[in-house]
Amino acid sequence: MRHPRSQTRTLFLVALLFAPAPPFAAGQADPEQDAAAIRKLLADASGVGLPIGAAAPAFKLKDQDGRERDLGSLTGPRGLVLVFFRSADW
Amino acid sequence: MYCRGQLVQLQHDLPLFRRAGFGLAAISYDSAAVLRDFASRKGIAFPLLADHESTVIRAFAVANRRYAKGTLLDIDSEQITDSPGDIPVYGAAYPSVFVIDPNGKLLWRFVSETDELRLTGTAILERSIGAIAGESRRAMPGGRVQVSVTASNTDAALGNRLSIGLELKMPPGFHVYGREVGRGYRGIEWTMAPSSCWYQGDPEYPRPQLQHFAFEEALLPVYAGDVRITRELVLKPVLSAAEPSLYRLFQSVCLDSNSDVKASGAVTFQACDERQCYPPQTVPLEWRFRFVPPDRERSPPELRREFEQ
Repeated sequence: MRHPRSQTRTLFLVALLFAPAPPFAAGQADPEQDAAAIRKLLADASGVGLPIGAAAPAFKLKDQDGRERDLGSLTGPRGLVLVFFRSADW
Repeated sequence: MYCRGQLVQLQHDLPLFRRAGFGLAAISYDSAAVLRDFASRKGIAFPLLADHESTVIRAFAVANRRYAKGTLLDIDSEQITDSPGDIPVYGAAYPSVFVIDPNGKLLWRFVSETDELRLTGTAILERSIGAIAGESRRAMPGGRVQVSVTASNTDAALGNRLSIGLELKMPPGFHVYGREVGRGYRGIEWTMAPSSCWYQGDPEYPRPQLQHFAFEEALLPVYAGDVRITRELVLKPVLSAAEPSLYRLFQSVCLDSNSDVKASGAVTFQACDERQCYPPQTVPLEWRFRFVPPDRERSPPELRREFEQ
């Protein structure tokens, strides 16, 4: 005969299995917390980065093939999208 | 991790930039050797620029202020540490995007102080120049008013800024009511239940027209023709070494058997023509994204950045 406690545990596990999708990330989604989180994520940081309207600083840097590139050589007919990223290593 | 995924997505979106007439380049504090290795492994064809001394990063004022000289970072937990095995991050940039016009003037910018958010190519083009590029569009079964769902991307990774949309096409002579109509009419409403899988922004409704009808004294806010409503969605950035179970939970809760993320919602509206209004109807909506798992592969050890005191 099985130990009653192990039976209870089996019941609990079965209940977990058939429970609705388990909430995660600090409990059930909270619309207000989420609204605050997405506002923070989508905010353009103030006080860092050159402002709109400023002149892009001139530069010369090597690309992955060792070629030297500057603004002129990178810009298309309508302009240039320049992405700064943290690292391709980590 | 989020950065590598972003570069692969930008490569995927490269034709959209070309079509829109823009060049694309990405800059980091990595050495040219790290960038060469990464570009060849992932097939990156647009220029990755090595700003090893961070001079351009500083010139654009996007050097991360948290990363002081001598700072080491545990990448799994994003915590600053003093353990010698961790990564020297002094001089690394905030994830940022600048759109520059042909005369060298900054047209648009987005600088993120959080560590997880990444813009995809379509998000950049949509937010900066208003181009609705690379969208998927699918019609939902409905009645006289044709309802379609759109998405800025077909693929999505954790921390991606995505834009989903809802389009209503009305036959001539038909309209639906704007949100604030009142007077017993039902204004259009796009609802989505809160999710554990993504953060969602509020719907961005366009401004309705004010119109006069024979059956009502006051002007009523209406939409006619084609209407497009959008909202932003960010898959929750759940990569945390402190709680590795979060990502596993994300996989089991948020991905279906095809590794797709499915978002659902509903739109309720009341359609009317010149003579009468029909009962309000609710159309279920569904968006689907192919999930792109995080890229955890680092550069070979001999190429990694050395610690400088």
